[in-house]
Amino acid sequence: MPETAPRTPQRGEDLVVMATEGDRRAFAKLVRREKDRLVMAARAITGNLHDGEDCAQDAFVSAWHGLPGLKDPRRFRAWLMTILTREALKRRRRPGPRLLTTDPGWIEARESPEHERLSALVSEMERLPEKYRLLLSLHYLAELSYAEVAVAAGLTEKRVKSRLHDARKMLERRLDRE
Amino acid sequence: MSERNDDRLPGDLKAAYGRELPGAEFEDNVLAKIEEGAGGEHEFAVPAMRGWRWWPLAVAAAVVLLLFGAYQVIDRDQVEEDLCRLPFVAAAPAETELQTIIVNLSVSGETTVKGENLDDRKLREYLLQRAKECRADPEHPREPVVLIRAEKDTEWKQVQRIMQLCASAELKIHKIQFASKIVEAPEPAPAPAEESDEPFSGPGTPEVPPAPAKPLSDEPFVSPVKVQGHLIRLARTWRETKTTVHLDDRILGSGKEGFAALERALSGTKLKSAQLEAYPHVPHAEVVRAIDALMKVGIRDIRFVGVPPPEQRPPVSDSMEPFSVHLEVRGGKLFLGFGAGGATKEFEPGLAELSKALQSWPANQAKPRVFLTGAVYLDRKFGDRVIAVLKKHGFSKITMIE
Repeated sequence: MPETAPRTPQRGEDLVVMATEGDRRAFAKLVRREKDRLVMAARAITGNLHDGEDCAQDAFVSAWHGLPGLKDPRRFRAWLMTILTREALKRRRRPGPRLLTTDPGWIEARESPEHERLSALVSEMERLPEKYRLLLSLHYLAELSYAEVAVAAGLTEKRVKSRLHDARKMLERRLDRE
Repeated sequence: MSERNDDRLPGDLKAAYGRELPGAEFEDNVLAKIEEGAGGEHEFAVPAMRGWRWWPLAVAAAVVLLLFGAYQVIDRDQVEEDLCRLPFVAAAPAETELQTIIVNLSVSGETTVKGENLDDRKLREYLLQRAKECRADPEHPREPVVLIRAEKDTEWKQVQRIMQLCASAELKIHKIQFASKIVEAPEPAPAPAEESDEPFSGPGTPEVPPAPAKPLSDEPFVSPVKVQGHLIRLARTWRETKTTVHLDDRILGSGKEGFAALERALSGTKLKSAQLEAYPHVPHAEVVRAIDALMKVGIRDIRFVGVPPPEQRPPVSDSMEPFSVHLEVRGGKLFLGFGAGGATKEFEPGLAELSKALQSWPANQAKPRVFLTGAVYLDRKFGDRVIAVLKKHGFSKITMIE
């Protein structure tokens, strides 16, 4: 679970401090560390492969410019995800054609049961209410703790736990019906 | 799925959303965006050379860089400028009026302009002459662009030949039209940058009057012209490393996957016409691949439109002489010098002198890139103070070379 995932918080904080002072190499290291989680979460929130990557990039750029305003380096990840969430929701709500995440070209081994299962999961994620999809993305893909999700989503920790529970149940129910 | 639990859900979600995660280019793009957005903050050009003992080498390297112009290698803008020189580029500044030059191309590969049959050499001369006239017109300067009108069964390689010819004359291809049966919707949208949508009328078609360039929306896939048939867009901005392939109202994917999806999607189509739009940064080979895919399924009426990029690149500003500031340690003290052949002074008076010199920089003269060399990293605060002074006076493009 995210809480037990191996991390090196001290080093991460050091990098944040160095980046805040204008050290671009330190920031590049932060990008390298966080990009996969950020991109996965952004893909899930936007429901679009390319928008996900784009808004992850934009989130990093905004973070770089906003770093001097970050008071507590330990909250960097939650803060970064707040930026990402805002950007991703903005893109998702923007009118225009979108690449469905169930595009068969995205998930390989199209004929396999695994592919069907994952396609169904992505499809149901798309159909979930935004508030649920957002929390599932932040918790499972961005690997934020409950407390960090609470910061990123602007909710209390208790509400985050409750909503995540509801989100999981809804997802399971819908997948069972498939 | 009822057995799904907390342990399985994260794994499944990651499997579903974690395919083809971006590689190192992602960081490059982020840093490039930062560089652009921040108006070019300092960058670390030679990160491996740390420690003040290296400064003599660094000075030598800086001199070589300055003398031979090798600094352009690290200038992303310059790289983008090179990328722009593709034969099918059609991006003209939005405020520049376009002058279309029509080149008619027959099945046998013969070219005709204004009813006159021209071989490749004469055609190139003619294009150069027309381009010169358009651009040099003191009262009404225009940007010349070329419309290639090919007969229906003309081989693609003949079109490529003309494209290359135009490129050699530094002319942009505005549109390639494969003859006869192009049908417009009853109420076409306002004409895009080009003007002549009437059917191909054979050799001798007169030149059409210029039309103002149309600024494109930043939103994806807004077709400038309605056509009966498929609408394909190859989208790629200067920041992106892959081309995104659009078909009609769908995004098929990017890179090889996008083109493979396009070929799959087109197989079995019964439509016989298509409009292909390509951003200027789409590689030539990818345009050819898209056209090949269309022709393979029998689509011969292809309108090719080069589309201006949705975002303007920052102007290239490194063509001027760079300015250098140098830090060095002597006898346990830090010295600063600047400009060509400028003497070094101790850091504090040197910095004050630098500030004074920058203050008197002519207001009408552009600010060049500044190379900050020498003992830049000896103590970061010294380098930062120099950078602060440079930025205060509007010198925002700074490269640090230790």
